[in-house]
Amino acid sequence: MSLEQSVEALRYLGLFSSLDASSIMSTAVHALHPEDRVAAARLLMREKSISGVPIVDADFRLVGLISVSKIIEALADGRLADPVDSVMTRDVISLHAHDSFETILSCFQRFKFGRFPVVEDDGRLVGMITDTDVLSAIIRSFYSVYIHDQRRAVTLGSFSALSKEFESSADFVYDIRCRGLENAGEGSARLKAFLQNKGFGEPIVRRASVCAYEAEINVCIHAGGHGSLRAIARNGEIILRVEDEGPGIENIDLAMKEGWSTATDAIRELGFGAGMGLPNIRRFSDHLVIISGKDKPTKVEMIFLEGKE
Amino acid sequence: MTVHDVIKSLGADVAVEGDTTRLVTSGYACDLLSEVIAKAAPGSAWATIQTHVNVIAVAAMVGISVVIVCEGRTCESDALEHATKEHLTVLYSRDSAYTVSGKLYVLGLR
Repeated sequence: MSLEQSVEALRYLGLFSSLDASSIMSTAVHALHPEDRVAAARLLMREKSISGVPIVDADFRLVGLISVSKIIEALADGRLADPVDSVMTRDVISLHAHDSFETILSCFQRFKFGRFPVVEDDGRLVGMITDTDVLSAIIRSFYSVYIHDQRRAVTLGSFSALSKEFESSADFVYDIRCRGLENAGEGSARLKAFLQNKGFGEPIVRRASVCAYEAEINVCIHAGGHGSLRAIARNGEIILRVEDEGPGIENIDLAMKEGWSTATDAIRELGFGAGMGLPNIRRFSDHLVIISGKDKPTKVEMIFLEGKE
Repeated sequence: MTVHDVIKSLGADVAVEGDTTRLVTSGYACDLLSEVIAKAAPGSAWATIQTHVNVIAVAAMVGISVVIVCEGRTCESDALEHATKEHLTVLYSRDSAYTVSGKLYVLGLR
């Protein structure tokens, strides 16, 4: 998979859609003024272990950048005492604070620099983005992905491939529109009948409908009752996808723990919210992928293989 | 034994008479729906104090043969309607879930 394809796949999953330059950049930035000496830039780079220093005017507007190679040139020419103004690069490639994650990645691809200054609309320097910042942002995003599978790459790979298939050719589609808990479970009941009609065996039907029920209840309890339940069922395999519109799971690791729940007392009195929903799903599914995060939609994808019982 | 046998032996009131010829092969007592859906076996008699419509949804999902609502509680009307649709028998017992379970155990359910 090429970098471009990976970016496309990740965009499809919505993983990085919320990331813009301002959320990735480091704001602890060291800058110099044009009248500062080259020697000061050299000292700063050595002390802070950085490979480039942005140069700003009195209003903190970006006017240039001085890199290690420029310092080396200045050293060779004996110009360490000169102002940085005389050696800095003036046509700096910079990013805007609201640039998308894809724009940032394509900048790194096109220009092969190790760092980009980030500016506001008025040209003021607000941060810097290095390749390490990009990597950290990706890792932070993956923190919100929980994968219950030894073969992580395989599962995630199948997930992104199936995403597209769900759009076009789900065998079973149910819109979850639940007020309170009154018709909660309706979708999974229909799914169960659908799977039985398709000739799936009782054990896999039970596992799939139990998981569908738990996921549907979660949508009703935690996501305002709005979501969808979709399935692709063929060749001894059932793939379920339950999605909602948020507010998302803040800490998926906690949510996977038995007995942990954010449900209200009123919900608990009805016998829900025992903190067994996701653990049950993990227990009964063969593969599980959950993508969520605070104030984000939740996507739960489960795969059931016939004869795995 | 069948649902019919359970009704006779428990002396419970019949709130919904569903498919009473269904076999009852085991028993389960719990009020946490996630536990029931994960652990109760199909064909169980289920003793609970929950009375709302989701009890029926869970029972249908698991393949429960008969629901016994304990402690003299009664179901909400939408629950009864749903049970009727599902041909699921719902019984009311004045006993606790413990006592009901004991009675079912003595009947031979394990």
